[in-house]
Amino acid sequence: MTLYDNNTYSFDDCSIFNLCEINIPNSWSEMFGTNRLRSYNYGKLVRLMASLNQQNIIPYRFIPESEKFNSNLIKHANQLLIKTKINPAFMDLVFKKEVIESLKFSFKGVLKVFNTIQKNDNFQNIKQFFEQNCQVPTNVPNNDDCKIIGGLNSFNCLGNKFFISADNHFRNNCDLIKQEWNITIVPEHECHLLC
Amino acid sequence: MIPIDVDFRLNKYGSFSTDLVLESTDYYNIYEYPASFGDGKGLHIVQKGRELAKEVVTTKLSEIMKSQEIKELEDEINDMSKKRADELSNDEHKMLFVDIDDRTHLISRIRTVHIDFLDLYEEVKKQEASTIADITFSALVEYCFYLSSFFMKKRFKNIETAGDYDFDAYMFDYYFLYNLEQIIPILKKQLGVDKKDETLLNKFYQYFVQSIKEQKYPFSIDNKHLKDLIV
Repeated sequence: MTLYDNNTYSFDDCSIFNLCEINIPNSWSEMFGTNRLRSYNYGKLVRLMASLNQQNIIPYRFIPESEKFNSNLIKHANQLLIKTKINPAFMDLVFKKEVIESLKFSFKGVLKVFNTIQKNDNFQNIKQFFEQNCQVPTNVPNNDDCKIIGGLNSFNCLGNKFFISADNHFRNNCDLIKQEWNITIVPEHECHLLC
Repeated sequence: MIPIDVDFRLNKYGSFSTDLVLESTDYYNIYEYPASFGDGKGLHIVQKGRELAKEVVTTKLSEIMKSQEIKELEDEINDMSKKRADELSNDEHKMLFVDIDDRTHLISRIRTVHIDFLDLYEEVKKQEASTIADITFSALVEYCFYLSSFFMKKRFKNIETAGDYDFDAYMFDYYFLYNLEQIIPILKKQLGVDKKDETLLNKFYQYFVQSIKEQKYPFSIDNKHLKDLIV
């Protein structure tokens, strides 16, 4: 696939978290065998970002930040740590705090390359659509997900709209979203296929 | 406020930097002025420096200081900038020193601090940290506990039989010990509240954990051998 500058490439905050690198302080780096922690899809996301940058295409993210931003931050830090299967062995509370701070710092740095799309607060019809059409009730996207779809739907774009996310609420509803709003959901682990 | 990054050292005579050379940068200009000792040099902040200072205040300082504290810091810097060099070196540096105690009193202070942090750490381990403020609180207590333990079991272990003990060589120990004592009532108060003061906790976390680097002080998360100091 090729990237086009009249398309809109937008990212879920969770995928932006996965674009972040975490610094491990010296005192723990030997234990982890590295001084950097990265998510599983980091390489694919970086490849996509580099291709977008090469073609002067600015990616988008959604504002305002979710009310759950801090809990998402903690959740992502925990997930990264769990995946290493390594216990910090000493001062684990300090280590956790350092990982969260590093993730937050990296996230703020990564945000600088993104333009923003306003989430749409009038999402009730979107929510209702999913409630009526989702065969599995747990697949109904949450309110913030619906605000993102509403925001991207109202966003002016001459080409196609892509949304990169690792959230199952989007992935499980990708056909419905494409059909109803012509938005292509790109599962995060396949994002490199866009370039 | 002129943001400059200088690696200061500390000894009994105050803070100093042996390799500090003032040159104009994108953030400030050097200007010369006539002084009794010859040509003096001063710094003038320029537009890019003002922008950086504003960014630092809005993004970084606001996470560790309340607006009133930032204002007080600015006022203090402004007051100090009006003082002569000898006033700064003679008077202001003295304010940085913590009283140097006799050994018996010092040992007693270290023990008291360590026991207080032992109690706090026991409480923290019982609680689940679910918010950023809770995690900061837990991490701060854990760090302070091990720092106090390091004082008692390593740093000051042989203080009673150490012969001529060089009190002046351990200025950072005194600073940290003094501030550990100061923070105990604050942490005890925070332990009992539902919504912890994140800015306040960030300030102390920044001071204890982030303000020191390996080359200056061994008990640092930047020290590869920190685990050997955890006792």
